[in-house]
Amino acid sequence: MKIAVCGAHKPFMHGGAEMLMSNLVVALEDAGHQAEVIRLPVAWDQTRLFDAALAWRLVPVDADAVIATNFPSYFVRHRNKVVWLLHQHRAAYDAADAAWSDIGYDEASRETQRMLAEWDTRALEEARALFAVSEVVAQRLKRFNGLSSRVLYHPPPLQRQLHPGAFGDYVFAPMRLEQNKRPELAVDALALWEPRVGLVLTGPGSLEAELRASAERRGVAGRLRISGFLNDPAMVETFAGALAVVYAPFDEDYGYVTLQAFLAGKPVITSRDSGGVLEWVEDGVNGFVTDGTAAAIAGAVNRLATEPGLAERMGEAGRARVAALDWADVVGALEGAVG
Amino acid sequence: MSGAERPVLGVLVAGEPHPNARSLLIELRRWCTPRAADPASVATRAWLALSSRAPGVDVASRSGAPLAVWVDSSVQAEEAARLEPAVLLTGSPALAQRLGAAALLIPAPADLDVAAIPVMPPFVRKRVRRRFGLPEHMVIDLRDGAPHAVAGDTALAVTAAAIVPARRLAGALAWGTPVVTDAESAAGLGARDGAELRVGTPDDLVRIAGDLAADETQAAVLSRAGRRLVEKGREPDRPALEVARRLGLWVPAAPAWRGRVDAELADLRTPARARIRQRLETIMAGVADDAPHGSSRVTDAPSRHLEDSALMGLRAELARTNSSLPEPYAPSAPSLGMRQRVRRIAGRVRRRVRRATRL
Repeated sequence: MKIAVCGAHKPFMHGGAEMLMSNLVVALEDAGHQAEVIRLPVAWDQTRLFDAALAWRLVPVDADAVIATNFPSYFVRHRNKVVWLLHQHRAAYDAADAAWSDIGYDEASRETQRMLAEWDTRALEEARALFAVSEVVAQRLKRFNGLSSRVLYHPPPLQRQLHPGAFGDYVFAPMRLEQNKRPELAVDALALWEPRVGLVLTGPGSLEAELRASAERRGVAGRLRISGFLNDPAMVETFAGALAVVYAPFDEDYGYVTLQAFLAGKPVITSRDSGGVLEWVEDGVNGFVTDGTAAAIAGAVNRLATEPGLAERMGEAGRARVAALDWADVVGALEGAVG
Repeated sequence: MSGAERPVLGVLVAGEPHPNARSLLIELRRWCTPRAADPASVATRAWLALSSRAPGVDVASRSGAPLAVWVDSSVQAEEAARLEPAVLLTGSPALAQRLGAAALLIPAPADLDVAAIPVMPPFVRKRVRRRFGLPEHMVIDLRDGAPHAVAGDTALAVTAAAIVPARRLAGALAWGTPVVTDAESAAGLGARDGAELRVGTPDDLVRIAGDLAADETQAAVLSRAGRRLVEKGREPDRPALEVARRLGLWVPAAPAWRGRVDAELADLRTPARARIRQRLETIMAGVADDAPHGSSRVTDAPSRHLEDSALMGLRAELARTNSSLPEPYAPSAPSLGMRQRVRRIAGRVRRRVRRATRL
């Protein structure tokens, strides 16, 4: 079967969505299909928000089936459309009040929100089947659009390469350095946890200079390393050598970092408002669900650094939690849904 | 496109046509020219037989042009099947359900122009209420003699839940309002408890409405399903468009993209005043366009219900009404602090109006 995986293309941005689409194509090919990713550029500002959605309605996609992933790719017109939803345009939904959203309370914003919800609902209703990448995404879909979906979990990138290693003297926090990921929490906590434990942030991102300045002010710049983009082998080894992973974004859709940390046998420290991360992290079992304050995160790091065997036990529990994740299950479910 | 260029739809008549078929023919005039014709002597783009026994229907079925046949019973549907029609048409919901994809339900002329009413999903309502200082869990009661019996569409568009009598049920559902009603009213519309709305007895309507107003997820599910329920049968142009498509009458001429764009906007129920339409006009300005627009009717009239001025008026009105609400409405009534805030705002509005009037 010829299957087109449809997704949005935000120019010069590469993240979890792009990785998911690539890995889904590989999994579909492994199952004997011809598959490829089709992406159209998208703009997220209110003025141009609907342009790409309309473009998806008009472009011909010659394939036996399409699997749409994120806004606005699910506007694609196809008789055999299945949606596996990563996210909608969150700035108009759950994150409408976030600092990075341009949706206000004015008449124009209200109309944008109203119409986007209507367009989204109708485009998603067209699908033969509606899947969501996580419970958080499924709940949002129900709460905002009144639509039911089935949760379909999938393995993160580097699933086969990630491995446990020694518990080193640093906490790893791999993420884009952007507001919604809240990297400042890790830097704030660094100033409060055991001085012998450092912090490795990856990036890149727009907050890098600000984070460096913050570490400088707090006198912890020497314990902070911002590595920038890590290639796959470096990422795997940095996971393997960490004491733990801090990952506390705001209301994450899914959160590969959590799953990757577990595959590397590392406990995850998160926040109670971190969304999809909470579908995996069980407080006191395979990590810590904190109140999201720097003090609580630092407290969790200190416990892992000082209580013998705790990090190992939690890391093993994390590995067990994600052991069953398999792309074959994902492909099987999607295959079953297409006509 | 001028009338002379429209494709002709040959109509085969036998006896008095079903009233729904008449409304279909009126709608179809946007894409073609329906004309009584003899298949033995006239070639048309497509045929519509208003009965499986209409004179000439056999000839029409062999003409090579697509044929639609109106049926009122299973027997007639079986008769019509031998004509190998492109589509069967019926005014009976039960028959349409039995025939499945082979048939299209052609509804009676609508009692409500649903296409002209924009949907207000519960989470957008919530933001509007927050913006205008309305109660977070706002409930309106539209029953005769109830506190908000004469509340207008703006109230329906922003409330978290509404107790709605039969006469206003379809309109409320069209707005996407989370609705509570009595069993008889629900049955009249074919709505089910927990699917498209909630049903209660006179004793527990208020409690159920309060619960619904506080349950954003259930409200969203009912809002979507309720809207879809009233769309069925109240968008006469939509089945007509589908008939036109199946008969090959809706074929956008060059430049095809403009007809496609308009059709897509209509499919997504985009209001006439939506900014995306203005943006498209800007983008497409100067491009020649003689394509037939197979779009649904859209009007912008209801949008005024969502404008700031309408919402300010509602706030002042509710401030007056809610101050005298009986105890059972307490769960949905604003808190004391909120009431004071609303009164203050309403006072400011009244003063501004007085000043403006003096000027």
